[in-house]
Amino acid sequence: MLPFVGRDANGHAGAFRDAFRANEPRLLAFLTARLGSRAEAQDVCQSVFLKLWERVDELHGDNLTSLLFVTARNLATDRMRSSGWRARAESLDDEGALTAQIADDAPHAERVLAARHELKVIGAILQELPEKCRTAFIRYKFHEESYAEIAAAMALTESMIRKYVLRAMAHCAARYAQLEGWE
Amino acid sequence: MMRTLPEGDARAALYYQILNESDDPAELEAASLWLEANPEKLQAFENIGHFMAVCDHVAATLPTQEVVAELGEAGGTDRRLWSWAWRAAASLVLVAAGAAFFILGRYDERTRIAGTSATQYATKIGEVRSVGLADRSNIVLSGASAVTVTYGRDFRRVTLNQGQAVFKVAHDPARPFTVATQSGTVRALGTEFDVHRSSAGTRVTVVEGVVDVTARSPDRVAVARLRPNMQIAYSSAGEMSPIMKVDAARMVDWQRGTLRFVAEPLSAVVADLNRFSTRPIIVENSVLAGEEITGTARIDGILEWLYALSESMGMTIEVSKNGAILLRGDGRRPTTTRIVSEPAPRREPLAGA
Repeated sequence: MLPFVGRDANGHAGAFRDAFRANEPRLLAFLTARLGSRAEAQDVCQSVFLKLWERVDELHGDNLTSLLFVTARNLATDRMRSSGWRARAESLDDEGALTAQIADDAPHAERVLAARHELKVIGAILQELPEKCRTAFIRYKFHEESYAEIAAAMALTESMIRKYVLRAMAHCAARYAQLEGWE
Repeated sequence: MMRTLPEGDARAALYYQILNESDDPAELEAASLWLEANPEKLQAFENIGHFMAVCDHVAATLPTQEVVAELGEAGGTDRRLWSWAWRAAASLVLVAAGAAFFILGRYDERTRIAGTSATQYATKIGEVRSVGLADRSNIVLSGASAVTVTYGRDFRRVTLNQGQAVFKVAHDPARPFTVATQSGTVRALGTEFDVHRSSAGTRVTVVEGVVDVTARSPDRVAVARLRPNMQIAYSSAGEMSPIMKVDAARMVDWQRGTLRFVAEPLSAVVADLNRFSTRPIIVENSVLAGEEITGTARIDGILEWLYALSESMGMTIEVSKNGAILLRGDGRRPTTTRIVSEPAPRREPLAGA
């Protein structure tokens, strides 16, 4: 076996590792909900660790929990967009490697059809809500308006709008899960 | 006659929103602590994440006009006239929609597994295991890998949850054999192929026979037919790479303890090594993580291989107090492909083949 240079006792890195381990279950729970897959969540969780580990010496004094969750949130969003792969595929392209890719550029009828069904389900579930609650949620989620904008448009307080959105989320999520369970 | 509606959990929704939107450390701390303290609420929390993701998916897939028309322009009053009809017909419509989801395959892994009896197989770090299936198909699982196998009368469905596996599929035209990963599916009738899943995406290599690979991104569905010695990759977001020509026999050499890398970033190489190394290997520097590596490692000589690698690329290796192997580099050298130990097979583009 080849000799290794031992690393000095580095309390800082060790403390980070311990804190990460302590937070890992919560982080995984959050990412599983966000990404819809435990395996994906574990992948991203690992990336969060590596990303923060890279600059572990600068993290002293920062609030680790918020650091972990904000990093996880960003990586999860990146993951969903995943531009990284596109860049890699393009670099292969530059080398002249692009050849026999068979891509269907037609408007992926299957996905559109599935999304329409989902939209119908969402619509039906939303109908079960009181009108103001439904309106607030549709503006928030599908018109991407801020709480303040919705509050102004509906002549209600911002905190009322937040309550409506939460109520709608809670109700719709439970109903959606219930209906999915019927399969 | 209405079904009793589930209560829903506004608190779970609140904490979901905080974890997704807030930058306030105190709020985030409280939300994450709640998550840990209330495991029984985890299902409600996941349901909320799932529903919000479905909303995002619908908004991203369909034109805004269509969504607005269906949901009503910010809850327009005419929708209320519909309300009673909806309520009466809701269960029928929803059952139909549910059936359509099933047919179209638009449901996530969790749901799919819930409905049928599924068997899971997993390996520990460093373990390579061969699993014989009822139809005489065979799966060789690489280290730290996991699959879920679901067999039905007219389908054979496997999900590669993590890691890598070689599938030798018994011929049965009546029951297609599919392997699903993040955003794509590999479909075969009778053949041998390798599927490698990482955080970035999935790589499929065909040893024998023909397989069809389908990758789904929000914008499109890409399909490729692979024959022996062809390889393709798709990202977790469903972007498909060009087809590459490889020496497939060498790509499945990990079954005999040899890991081969062709122009892989060090981060990906280390992710693979970590499925075999008893000590975790950590790349400490992002410049280093992007270095491209070509080479061949033995799983019983990973440390020695890393040492050889370090000499050719100005990387230092240290072992931390808790036994992790830390790779460091100053990034002084330009990023190039480095050949280690022996010239490994090149991936050739398929053009002209």
